Amino acid sequence: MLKAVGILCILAGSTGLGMSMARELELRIEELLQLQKLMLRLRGEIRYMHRTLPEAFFNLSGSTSPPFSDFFRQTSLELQNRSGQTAEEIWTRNLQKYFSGLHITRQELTELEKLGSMLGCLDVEMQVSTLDYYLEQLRQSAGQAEQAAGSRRKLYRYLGILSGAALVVLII
Amino acid sequence: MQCDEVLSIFPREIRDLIQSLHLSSEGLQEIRIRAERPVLIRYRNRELVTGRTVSRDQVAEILSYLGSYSLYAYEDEIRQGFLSLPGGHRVGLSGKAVMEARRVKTLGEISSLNIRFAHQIRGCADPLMPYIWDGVRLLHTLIVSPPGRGKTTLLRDCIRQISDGSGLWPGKTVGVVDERSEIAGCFRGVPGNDVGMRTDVLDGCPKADGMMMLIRSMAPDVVAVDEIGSKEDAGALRYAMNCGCVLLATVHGSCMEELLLKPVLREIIEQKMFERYVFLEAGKVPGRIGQILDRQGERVC
Repeated sequence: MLKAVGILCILAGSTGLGMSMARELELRIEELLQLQKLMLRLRGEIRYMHRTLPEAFFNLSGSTSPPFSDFFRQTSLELQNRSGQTAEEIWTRNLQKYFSGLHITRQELTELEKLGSMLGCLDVEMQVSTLDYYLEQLRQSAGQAEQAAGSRRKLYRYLGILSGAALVVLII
Repeated sequence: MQCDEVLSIFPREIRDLIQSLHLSSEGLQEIRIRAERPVLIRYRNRELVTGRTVSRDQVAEILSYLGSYSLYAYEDEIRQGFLSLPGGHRVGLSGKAVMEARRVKTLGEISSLNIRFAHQIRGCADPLMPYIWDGVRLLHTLIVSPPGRGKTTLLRDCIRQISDGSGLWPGKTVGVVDERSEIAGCFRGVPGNDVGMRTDVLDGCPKADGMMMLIRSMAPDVVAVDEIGSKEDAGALRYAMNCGCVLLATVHGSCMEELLLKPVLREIIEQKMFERYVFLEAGKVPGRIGQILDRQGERVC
């Protein structure tokens, strides 16, 4: 009886692990798509409304969910406070604070950090070009993530179940 | 906007320096910032030379604060050489002009800033009001003076009084085309100065286009503009007048003879478009009236 319960626990655990790894792939795609939507909106705020970054970030914070909303709200507040830091410093610090738990890759987070160093300066045309370039990078990342997820999703799920089954066989 | 809020555009060291001087906000006229030069303050018509030199980085920091880290959002203002602050305060900019197709595209490497504090003087138009009304009819009025004598200050108070009305005169809907954000001191579209309860402000819009837009959209009784002078302005003034609007305007000049030397103004004067010409004189109080002429050039005050 005890053995049967143990086998069930091992199978449930390994299957859950496989599912969770597959889910992480999906979360990365969702986060990249969310970033795309937000950057498109930011582009519109700058391109058509000529809004300042604190205003645009505040508006973005109202149209999304945590941690994106928290990031944009906090960055907007800190920019308004004129604390003596540059916009890039504020952007980078808040990225690390709010986005460390995201499922995007280290490379994708670095690209987002680089975007912060380009925002705010020069003219609208330059801002729009910068955002377009970043949006293109996001599209590529999302495409790659989609491809990777397509092949790995099943692999992680089956691997979870099979590794559990293998462990069970070994124990028996 | 209080002066303290204007001071928040400065880095802490400069902010502390200015606060340590204990200057009253009423007397503060200008703060001049130049890279690698000391901060100069104009206070109660006197210049105060501070010992603090401003670095290039500090000028860049002030610019970041001024533009809310978003100078791209102020392209048009920078091209014209100024930025507006809440409350009608203005920051003049100077640096390297970037040209494109023989026009100034923007200012780069900005190294000099002139923060000019606006002071609304309520009631400065009191002596003028009886002369620009004929019973309950408001007269087309042109305020004339050289720079710095308070044309805009006087115009702003006229607008406020005409808009709010009084026991003697009814309140009128006033449309203001505030091309350089000096009259109403708009910040994010909302007037920082009191321009009256029946006043609509078209902020940052060229005068000629703005007058047409206001007349078509807001049906003003009175149209007010600052510093007229171009051919387009004259055409728009004529259009506004033909639409039944009363005109309130200002122009640079010191006397009628000087105005007649300018072709556009000469035409306006000869067509007797304005019924009152108000000439300002130098004085301690901005907007001090020297003389008022009627459309024939006869002195009425």
